Amino acid sequence: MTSWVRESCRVAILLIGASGAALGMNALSRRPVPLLDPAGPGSWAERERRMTVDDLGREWSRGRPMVLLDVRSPDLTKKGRPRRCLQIPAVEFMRHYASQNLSSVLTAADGIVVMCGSDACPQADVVAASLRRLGHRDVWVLQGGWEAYQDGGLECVRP
Amino acid sequence: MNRAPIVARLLLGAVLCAAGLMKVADAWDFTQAIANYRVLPPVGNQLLGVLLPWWEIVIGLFLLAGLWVRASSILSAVLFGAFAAAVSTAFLRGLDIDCGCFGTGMGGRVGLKALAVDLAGLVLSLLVLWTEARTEGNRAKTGNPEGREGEVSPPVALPRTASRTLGRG
Repeated sequence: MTSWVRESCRVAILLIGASGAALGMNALSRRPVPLLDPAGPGSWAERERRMTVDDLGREWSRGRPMVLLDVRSPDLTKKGRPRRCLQIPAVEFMRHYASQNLSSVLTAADGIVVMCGSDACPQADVVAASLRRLGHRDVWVLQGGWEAYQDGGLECVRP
Repeated sequence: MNRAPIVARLLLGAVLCAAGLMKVADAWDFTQAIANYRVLPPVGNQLLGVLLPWWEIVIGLFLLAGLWVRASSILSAVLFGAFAAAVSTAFLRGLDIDCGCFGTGMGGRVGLKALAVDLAGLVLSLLVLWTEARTEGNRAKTGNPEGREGEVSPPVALPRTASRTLGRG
């Protein structure tokens, strides 16, 4: 057997063996990833309704109790964040939602605005879509994210 | 003896194992991290979210153990090449997303740092592959099972006269 045929067989064996182990472990895990489910995890976030920083500032000045949800990762929020916000990284959102009684806080609020780093960051859309699926109706994504918030003149906390 | 290829192989194996284990710990979030790149359809993201961590773990273990090094380093080079391509396209499209390189809990973003890590992995994989191919070439040329250059292994069967001489002694 030539060397390249032998190596190709080994590559195929490695890939098939590892794939078998992966599918088996996924089936046995407590939270398996549903495979071949177009609506499961891994679906692309649709673009949610946008709210501008000016509109958010106006609603707050009118006294409307809207919650601003900052879903950026901790390494970004420690460099600066809005003064009035709930900080929950997008990747931990569902865990926090289930464990921290976040549901009642968000239900009591009159509207939720989800904020990410910028418009190029899809996590805010992902979290906003999850919130809508969980039954929250008034959900927006802050247009321009943290970049627009800083330029909009609303209160920030910086280290 | 040049130890650089051995260190490169062990480093590569350790990095792949660590990256795979961190991804396996939360495959659900890792699947979403892949989706944020907006390259594959949802079903592709789910399959890759489940398979990719285990590919990394198995390839990493084989590299650490020094088994099937050539096949493992080919796969490792392909993986790091694909990671580098995904990170650079996301960076060029201006996506501000978690790179998912070591799972989703590390907070690493898509950018030049992530690209540098992937390119370093690709270079290490190619170094291991090249060293392995050269060693095998020397082995075939010299018949020396160690495969080191400049060494010729003794013939397996001694000539009849020599064996008689040795037998008398």
